[in-house]
Order: sequence, then C-alpha cells, then structure tokens
Amino acid sequence: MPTATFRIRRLNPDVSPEPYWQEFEAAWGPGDVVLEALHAIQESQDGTLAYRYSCRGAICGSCAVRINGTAALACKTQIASLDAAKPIVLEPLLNSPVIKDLVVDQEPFFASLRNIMPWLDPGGRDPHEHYTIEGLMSPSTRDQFLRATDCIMCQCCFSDCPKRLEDPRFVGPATCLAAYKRIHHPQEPAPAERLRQACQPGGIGDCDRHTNCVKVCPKDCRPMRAIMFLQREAKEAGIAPE
Amino acid sequence: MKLCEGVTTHDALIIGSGLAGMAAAIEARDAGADAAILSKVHPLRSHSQAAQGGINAAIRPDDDWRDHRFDTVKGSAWLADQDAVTVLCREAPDAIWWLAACGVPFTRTPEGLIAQRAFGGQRRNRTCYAADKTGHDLLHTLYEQVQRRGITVYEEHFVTRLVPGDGSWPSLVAWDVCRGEVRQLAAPAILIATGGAARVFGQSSNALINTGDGVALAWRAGLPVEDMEFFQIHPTGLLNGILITEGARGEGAYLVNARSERFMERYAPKFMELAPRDQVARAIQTEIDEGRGFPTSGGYIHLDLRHLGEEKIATRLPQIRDIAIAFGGVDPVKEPIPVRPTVHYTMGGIATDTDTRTECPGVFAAGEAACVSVHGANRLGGNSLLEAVVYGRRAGRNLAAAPRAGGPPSDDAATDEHRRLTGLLAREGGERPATLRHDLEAVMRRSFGLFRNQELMSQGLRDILRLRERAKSAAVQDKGRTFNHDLFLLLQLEAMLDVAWMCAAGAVPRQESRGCHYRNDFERLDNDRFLKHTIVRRASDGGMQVGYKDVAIEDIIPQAEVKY
Repeated sequence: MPTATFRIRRLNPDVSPEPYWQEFEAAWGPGDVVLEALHAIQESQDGTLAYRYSCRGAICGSCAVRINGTAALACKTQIASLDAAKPIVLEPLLNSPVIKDLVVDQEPFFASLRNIMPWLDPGGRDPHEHYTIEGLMSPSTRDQFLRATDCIMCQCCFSDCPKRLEDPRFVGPATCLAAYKRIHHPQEPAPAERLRQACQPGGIGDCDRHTNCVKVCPKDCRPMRAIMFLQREAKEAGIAPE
Repeated sequence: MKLCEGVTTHDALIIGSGLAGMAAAIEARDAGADAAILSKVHPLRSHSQAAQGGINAAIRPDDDWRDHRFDTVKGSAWLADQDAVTVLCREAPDAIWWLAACGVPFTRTPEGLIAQRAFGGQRRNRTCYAADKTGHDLLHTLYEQVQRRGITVYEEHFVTRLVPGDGSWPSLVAWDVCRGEVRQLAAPAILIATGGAARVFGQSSNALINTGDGVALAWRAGLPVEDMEFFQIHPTGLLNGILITEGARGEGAYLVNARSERFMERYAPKFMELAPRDQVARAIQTEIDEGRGFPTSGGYIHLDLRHLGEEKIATRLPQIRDIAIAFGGVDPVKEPIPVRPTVHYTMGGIATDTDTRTECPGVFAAGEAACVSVHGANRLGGNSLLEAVVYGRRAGRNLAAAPRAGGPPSDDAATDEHRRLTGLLAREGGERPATLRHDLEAVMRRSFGLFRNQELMSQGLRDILRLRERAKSAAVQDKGRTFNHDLFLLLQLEAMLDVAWMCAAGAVPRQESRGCHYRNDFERLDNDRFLKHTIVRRASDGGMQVGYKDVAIEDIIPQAEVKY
C-alpha cells in the first residue's frame, strides 16, 4: 500500500498556547478517506491527537477540517483525490477558536445561527392542510428550499467565508441559508418579518459574493445562491438592506 | 482533570440528544419542567439523523393502527410486548402531526397529503418520509425546537456514572470533555436516551459513537437490561459498514459472487434478491465463508446496478450513487459495489414499562437504549424513528410529573468518579484502547454474527471475559485535561465490553432461532421454552445474572413460525 504524509497543525493548550506542525506517515488504499488516516495515526502513532467525528457518512457534520487549505469533511475526502506525492496539510477550521488540535469551539457558529432564531413558530399553515411544495413555490425557490433543508451545520462555509474573517458581525453563509429555510417554510407564520430580520446589519446584505461557501459545501446547499435570492426578494418587498 | 464541587440540579436530566432525548426535553419543558440535556456530542451529531427511509404511522382513513400493530408483532417473531406495541402504533399518527407542526418538511403526494412509501413486512404503504433523509430532517427540526425553548444543553459532556437515589434524587456524574472537568448533576427524574450499541461488531451501519454507553451505565447501576442478544443485521453495507438501502435491490440490483453467479437462486429462487433481510444476509455471508466471495478486505460480494442504466440510477438512486462513489470508491454506473452484511440496530436495551420507567425510582429510558419491547427479535423498517419519538415524548411527560420528594444527594459520587478517571489517566504501559476494541469487534463478528452456535458462542463468551481482564490495565497515551480523545475512546471501550458481555450472556442459553438470533444448532422457533425476554443484571459481586420475563401477549397468538 502507498503511504502519504499528513502535516497536521497541532495545539495542546495544556502544554503551550503556541500551535506547531507535526508530520505523520500513514498507509492508504483505494477508497480510504482522510478520517481513516486520522484514526490510524491516533491509534498507532500518537494517542494525543484530537479531532471530531461521528457518522463517518457525511450526514452528521462533525469532522470538518481544512484539508490543503480548504474546509471539507474528513470522512468524505478520499486520499486518492489529493496529491499524495506532497504532504497533505490538515488544519482546524477558521473563524472559530481552536480548543485542541483539529477541534474548534463551535459556539461562534451556533451563536450566529441563533441570531436569526432558526425555528418555526406556531401560528402558520396547519400541516393537516392539503398542499404541495410545487403549488406554493416556483421551481427555483423549491430547489433552493430543499437544498437549505440538506444543510448539516458542518461549519465548512462558516470557516472559509472571507467576509466573516474580515467582519465578524456577518452571520455567515449557513445562517443566511437557515434564514432562507425559515422564510420559505410552508408553515412559517410571518415570512415578511423574517425577511426583514435577515436584512439587518450583519445579515444577507453583508455578503461580498466570494462564492467560497458554494465551493466548499459538502452537501451542495449553495448558500450564496440563497443569499442572492433573498436579496432580490427583499428588494421586491421594498425592505432591501442599506 | 478538575473536580467541580457541589451538585447542579434541574427538574429533569436527559442523557442523549438524539430524537428520543430531544422529544423528551421538548415535552418536559412544555409541561413546565426545567429539563436539561447532556450529550457526549453536539445534538446535531447524533445518530438518529442517519435514518434514511422513514417513520411508520397509520394516518390514512383506510389504514388502522391495529394493522400496524399486527405487522409489528409478527415482524418481531412474536417477542414484542403487545401492550407496548399498542402504545407505539396508536400514538403514531399524533407523533407525525406533532413533528409536522414542529416543521418537519415531509414529502407530500400530488394531492397535498403526507406521502407514504412501502417498507418490508407491512401490508400497506405506511412509511412517512422526507426524501431519503428523514432522520436528518427530524433531528434538525427537533433541535430547532430545543433552541426555541432555550433548553439547556450540556454539549460534549460524557456521562460516566449513574447513581440511583437512596432516599434522595437519582444523580449522575458527567465529564466535560472540552474543559476537562467532572461534576455531579441531580434531578427528581433522569432519562437515559443514548441510542444503540452496534459498534461492538465493528462492521456496522452505526455512527462511531454508538457504543452503548447508556445501557452500560444502567447495568453498572444494577438496573435490568433486556434482550441484548438481538442485534439486527442488514444484508448490504459497504466494506466500512455504511448502509446501501434495500431500495437498490427494490429497483432491480443483482447480488453476484466472485464466480459471477446470482447466488440468491440457490437460497430463495422465488424472491431472489428481495427475500427477507435475514435470509439475504445469511446467503451473502455463506458465499463469503465458503470461498465464493471476493477474498480481500475481509471478504465481500458484489451488488451490481449496471444493467439498470445511468438514467435510472441517477433518477431513482441518486443518494446511493453518491454514497458508493464517496465511501466505496466505485461509481455503480460503471462498476459493481462491494458489499457485505452490516450490523444495524440494537433491539435490546434497558428494561422499561410502557411509561418508560425502569426498575429504579426516578430513572427512565427511551429510544434505542431502552427495551420496552416494541421490536422483539426483529425490528421493522420505519419503526425505529417512531419508537424514539413516541416513547421520547411519553418519557418527557413522565419526567415532568415525577415526584420531587427527596432532594439532591451529596457530591460523593463525583469525588469517587474523579478518582476513578484520574486513575485511568495515570495507568502506564497497558494496551491501547484501540487494540482491545479491534479484538472485541473480531470476537463479536465471529461468535455473535449471522450464524451462532454453542461452540462459537461459548468461545466468544470466554474471549469477552478475557478481554475484560486485559482492559483492566488498558492505558491512554494522552494524559492531558483538554479534549482528551484517548480517554473518550477508553470510556467507550468500557461500555462496549459491558454490552458485549450482556449480548453473550443472553445468547448462549437461548437454544432456538428467533428473528436475528439464528443458531445452526437450533434452527427453529421454540415458543414453549423461549417465548420470553432475557433479563440480565449486574450481581453484587460484579458477575452477570441471567433471568427471564414473560412476553405481554394479548390478542395476537404467536405462531410456530414467521411466514411471509
């Protein structure tokens, strides 16, 4: 089996606040993913290596890290898709404080999400009512709504959003996508109010259209497309942000 | 590791943040209780969201919950408790409308009704779904409602000890993984909703976190645990265990061995690839064991979709294509998918009554961690999400109504547990948790897999006991306080070793074949001797007591076989 070098950005706050780089060699075969290499390194080379995971099937959103500079799920990234002749660089996500090694504090991400109150309030359409999504939405709205429901909150887009890096008031792509889901939910009682809320400072108007969120999303949710749709809707409703 | 003094209190504590735990938290809060959730992961990382297919309920005027109940009892190989199945099926429609009101975007028919698809073992289309990611939509929607209510969630808190009340409230000790702190929490009512344990087999469709921690907690606290010998095995998983849904064979995929034979014609000539799950799984394993499979990577056979054509695969099975490419490394349009059976679901669990009560006052259990028992020896597809929601909600209402007499205990248990964890960290020179885990997985696959018999299982039980001895000196390399992943793995291993012992202790004396417990030395159902639940509990000397409990039989009379 071929081997690959994994160059991992480490941090152990129990020892030192300074991060450092460490390289490990791991054997890999066809179909092997980066998460399996992390397990192999933790099990047989360095038991102190910290990283998150759960489903190992790209549905739980735990294992996002930066792989060669781009946020991705470690469980979904095949080693064969990377250039194994060069060291594979693994780093923690951006825009969140590092707790240890590849584990980041998820609170800034979920705090940003809570900004838009990402839940359905009672008082809207009764689910017993007969309706179809096709009957309520245009094909493009429906497509984007279903993509919004696919989001696994893995934080890849939040990590790699240059706007968030430059201005932490921006709630980030996943939060805007969650706003889209709420505004277009068939049972949402106050969509106009929700749209107005999404237009507040730090909301959809702050997107600089870098498109990174669309590129890094492991579920093809297209957050920036949702933002552009919402911007257009806000303009049509006369509540466009400044 | 830091010890936090004192005892934190809430009205109710819920261990586990999957569907059952979050449904309970929402109901308890809506009944006025300050319920808090503890989970060793963030709630959105829970395994409930891996469920693809759907959730069963008789919601149409021409369907009847009694028919759902009959199908469930028959599918269970008559082992399910009929009073518990009554609750499950009667409350199912209300659960669906509650979920819809919470915001679950169920797929709808062209007429605007919630759509229902066909699932195995049921006489009509009864499975409600949200595309092929039903569990994902349910979990995210309930987490939204947890946030809406401002329910406290102790994220990444690994509960390492359950303390039954002694005139006081029950309590627990939790390890805060990120901060490296140990603290005790108490409440008049504690719910265990920690999910399944199929990781003990290694080859499993379950998330890597499904190590049976809650079942082990309860067992160590002396609570009875029921039917742990029953683990459902799905015929087609990728080599790493990830599930390839039955829908692939439903669309016409072939199972082919290394000699290019459609071998199902030797096992089930009438139903071929669509024979019942347990038969197909045994057929695949037989091919591998008898040398007709592909020998590498531990053995596998091929699931061939190529004759379906790219268009049909793209429109009917898009998810399967994605999964095969991302996790199997093959595009099913061009190549067959390597598959083999994968352990899927834990039917057994902490014994409860239909109000989710355990034997211990103030301690409740629900969902896959519990055994109420609605699945008996074999669970029907679409009933696991349903059990989590129906019994989770029921638990929530009971948590809120629990008597408040007593009050919190002293924080002695935290001091004890802190000493124990510090001791684990201090061990030097022992084997790594991963080494022991890999050995345990191999024992479980060999001895308690698809084919069981006296010799294999006795050997397995001996091996498990030997592994338990070895684990007493297992050592972690990470001695640090912050996010000690190595200690996390050791604590999971301890739970897995308990679960494995419970499975073996129940399986060896059950001299019959029922549902997923298949013995080639006792190939038939034996209702006279074994139409009963296995109950294991920890004896005061640390040993394993095995006993039995009657099945609740009402109007559905068990037959000598389960015939479809």
